[in-house]
Amino acid sequence: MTHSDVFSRVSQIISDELGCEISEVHLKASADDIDGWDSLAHARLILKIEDVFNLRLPGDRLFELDNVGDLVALVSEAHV
Amino acid sequence: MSEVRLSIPSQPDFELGINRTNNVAIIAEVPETEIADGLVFLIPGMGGENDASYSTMLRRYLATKHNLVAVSVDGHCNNCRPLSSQEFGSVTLDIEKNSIIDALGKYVVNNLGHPLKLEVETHNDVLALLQGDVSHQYSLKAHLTPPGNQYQNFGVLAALDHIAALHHLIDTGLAFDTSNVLCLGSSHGGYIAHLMAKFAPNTINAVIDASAYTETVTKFVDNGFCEAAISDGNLLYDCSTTQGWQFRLPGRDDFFGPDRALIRDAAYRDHLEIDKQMADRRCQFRMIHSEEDSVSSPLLKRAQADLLQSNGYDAVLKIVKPTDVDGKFIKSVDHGMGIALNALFDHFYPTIERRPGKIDRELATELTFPCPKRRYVLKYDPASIHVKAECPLHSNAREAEQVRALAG
Repeated sequence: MTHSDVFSRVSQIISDELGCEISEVHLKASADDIDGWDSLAHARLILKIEDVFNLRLPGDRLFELDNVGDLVALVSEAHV
Repeated sequence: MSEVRLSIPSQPDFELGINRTNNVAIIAEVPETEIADGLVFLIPGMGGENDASYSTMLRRYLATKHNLVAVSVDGHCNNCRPLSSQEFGSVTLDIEKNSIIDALGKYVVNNLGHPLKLEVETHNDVLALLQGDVSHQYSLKAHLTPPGNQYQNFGVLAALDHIAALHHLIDTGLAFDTSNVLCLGSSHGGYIAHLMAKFAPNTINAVIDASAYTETVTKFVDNGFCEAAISDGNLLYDCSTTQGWQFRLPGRDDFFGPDRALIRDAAYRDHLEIDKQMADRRCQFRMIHSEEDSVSSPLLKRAQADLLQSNGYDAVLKIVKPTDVDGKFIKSVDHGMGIALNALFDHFYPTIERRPGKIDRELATELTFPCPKRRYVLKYDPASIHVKAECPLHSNAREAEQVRALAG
């Protein structure tokens, strides 16, 4: 799966989970930029991504993601 | 890394003489290393950090990043708020019948001048009627009852449940440094953490709290209906957790008098003196609190820190001012300060010293906390996961109670 494919699927999950427009979700977008992306929503989002991609993200980095790009990179690394 | 799910029998409510029917569930995230550096209890307050997804992620984060067994315990009344995802069962919301009648009266007044057609047979009919009147908001009072018909004990049983869970995890053979047991909590969770340190002075190596109160918040134990406001369309529920205590009838065991309050006081000088005498290695305290906290008094928090420090404890209190709000670690000066538990732990854990020592169960510690009418006795037994707890009346108080009973 390419980086672009991962971004596309992660964007859709973010849009579905947070109820935002998919156009709002870009690589530089952070939790501050998207309404409703608080720590609880972040947790649900991570678990949903793990479920959809059938992977387990590294525990020590779960709270250290600054923006969508970081999340996509982490998923891409774990998906290899 | 693996998740372990266990449960242990709950111990009775020794103050009220109530046998509890539900077991105490435990979820532990165990790091992959041969021996973990210790164990951390994540103790949620009454808010969102009880969310199942958040708790799961937090356990994984702390286990991986800090090489600690990260544990959530469904201690007594742990879960007293409706949340979208809950690990340990759901809270029920029971609406006070009188408040439904009051709201119906307001509905009639609000609709004076309009033809009224009231066809209501049940309380649910009234609620449907109120919900249909979308141009007005109606306030109702509701009780939140935790799973298993639990009630608000305010901390004592929850603290003992966590200590029993620790003993059980040790007995299952989990490999971790048992001298490095930490308690992490915000608000009510931090308060329970302090009670654990009070009841297990040799067991808890450190308490890390944000906005933890130091004593019982009495408005939370008298059906004040101010604990939580839950809106459902135009209906607003003012909620209170179902109570085990009452304030009006002093002769009864469920009267929340000075004894009940003092055993729940995490900064009571006389009890701290007992802990100090009993502790071979004293608990370390890392606390952060807003100077504008409207739920948990910053004055009492300062007094707690002063008391701990003057008694030789390694206690640090950071008082947060509006200028400290950075939008990342500290997001506001309100209660809780918007501090995420992972960030709170990352902030303070590097300042905690690991010190070898035996825990209270190994030491068979026996603690007696005197109160005006009774004494609270906690006995650790190396052969039991539970701390034996009792609170007999002093003999003169017992006689006074007998006279009171005979007098009717």
